[in-house]
Amino acid sequence: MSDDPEDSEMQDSGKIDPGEPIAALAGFEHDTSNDLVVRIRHTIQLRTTVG
Amino acid sequence: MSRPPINRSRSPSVDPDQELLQDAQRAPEGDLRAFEQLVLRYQRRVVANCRYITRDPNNAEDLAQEVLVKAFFRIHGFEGKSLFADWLQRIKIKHCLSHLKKQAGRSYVGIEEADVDKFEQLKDRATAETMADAISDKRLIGEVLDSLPSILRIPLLLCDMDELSYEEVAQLLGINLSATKMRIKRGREEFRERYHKLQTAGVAKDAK
Repeated sequence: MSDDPEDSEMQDSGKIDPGEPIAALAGFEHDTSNDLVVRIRHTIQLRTTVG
Repeated sequence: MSRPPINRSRSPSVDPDQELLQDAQRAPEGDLRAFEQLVLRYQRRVVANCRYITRDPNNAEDLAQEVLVKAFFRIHGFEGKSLFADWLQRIKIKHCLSHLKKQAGRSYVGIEEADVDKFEQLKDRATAETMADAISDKRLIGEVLDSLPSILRIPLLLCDMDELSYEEVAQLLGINLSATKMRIKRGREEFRERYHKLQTAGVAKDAK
């Protein structure tokens, strides 16, 4: 990392080239537990009933 | 130099979620079955965001649940001016950033962790037996993300995982455009360097 982040962040934005995106991050997903959708359903039903 | 903002190039007229979305909006209280199909379609991406923006594996699913429930109760207000995925993404990002602010009690963009120490520990682990667990790219990416400080990780995720433009990232984080670009630049450099080091450590270990 840069030693002087404050100074480096003060540059003209047009002069900064952020480089190429990390391609592997696009569409990156994380595993979920099987019951997430069930928990969401229960929460919605509960709030709908209470409301 | 800068890549185009991918979200902005997508037209709402070709929203792949349109049919399910209309079903979910049509019923008076929202069609839960149709909405659940949308949940199944997006839950892994929502959890990934919640997991890596907050770096909180224990609360990632709870946060994702809150995001998706919030989306359900707001779905009648969705006017189709953007893609459903982009609309959901906004809810998700704002929820995660709000969670971070509440949790830290201070600005999330100012949080600096002892990332060097953390990465050294990670390298040690990588060269030890746990590297066997990190053989998959996905896991390795997760390890590298976890090792990055928030000040670099969050802008990087918003830009490269959520595919927001630099201007959108700057607006969401409340920092100027040059700071945003610089943090993304440094985030990408750090990510590549750390990923390469871990990958090399794994290959070296496998060769022994």
